[in-house]
Amino acid sequence: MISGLLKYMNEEDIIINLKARNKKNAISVMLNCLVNTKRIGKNDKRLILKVIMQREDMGSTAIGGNIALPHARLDCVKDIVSCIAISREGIDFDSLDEEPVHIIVLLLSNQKEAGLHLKTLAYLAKMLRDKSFVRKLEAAKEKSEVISLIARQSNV
Amino acid sequence: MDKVEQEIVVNNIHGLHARPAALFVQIANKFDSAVQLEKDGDIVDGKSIIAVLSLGVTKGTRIKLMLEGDDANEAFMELRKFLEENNA
Repeated sequence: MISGLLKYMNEEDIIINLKARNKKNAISVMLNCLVNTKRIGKNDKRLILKVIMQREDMGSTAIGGNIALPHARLDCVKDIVSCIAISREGIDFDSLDEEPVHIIVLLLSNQKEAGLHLKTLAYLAKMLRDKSFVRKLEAAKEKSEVISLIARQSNV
Repeated sequence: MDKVEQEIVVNNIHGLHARPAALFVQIANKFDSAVQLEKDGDIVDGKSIIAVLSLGVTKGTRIKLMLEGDDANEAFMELRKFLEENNA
């Protein structure tokens, strides 16, 4: 079931060594990546960032264990789009356990995809609840390594 | 040491996705008892957001709430209330 996730994950939408000052900056850099790979429209970036930050204000999606899952549903997003970023230094993401975030998986879905959006979040959580997997992701040096780690984890 | 186990149909309109999962875990962590959730044979720690989120609990899902500890009964009442209430 988790393998369905790979459909929404592309090697070019992975940032191996994210440099960001804070949460908003990190999300902005990730959205720039998605603009460059044409997953989202350049003109939609501002709105998407605003909606994600509004969601973060309701409660941080940095749910502990050095992981954050910022997400939003918007009309301007086609199907499901994701971007994965790894930060070696860690980013202050207002996480619930106050630990810095090393793995960020950004998930954007079309407004109509409520069910699929929740299902995908659950799959991501299932994958990331395995701490040894998270440590391996953190150490990945190549984008292709991230994809193969996810593919392997999907078969567990 | 008390032990409580019961199946519950989740009525929370948003199921247990990110924010409701965080709220559930917040309640669970107020108590000393061990809290576990089971869905389709998958048993997870009810005090970890990522674990609760990973169950993919939507409205209408049947899950088993399992508690063990001195305050298990009290914790059970509160957690069941949260899951059964339609708190949009």
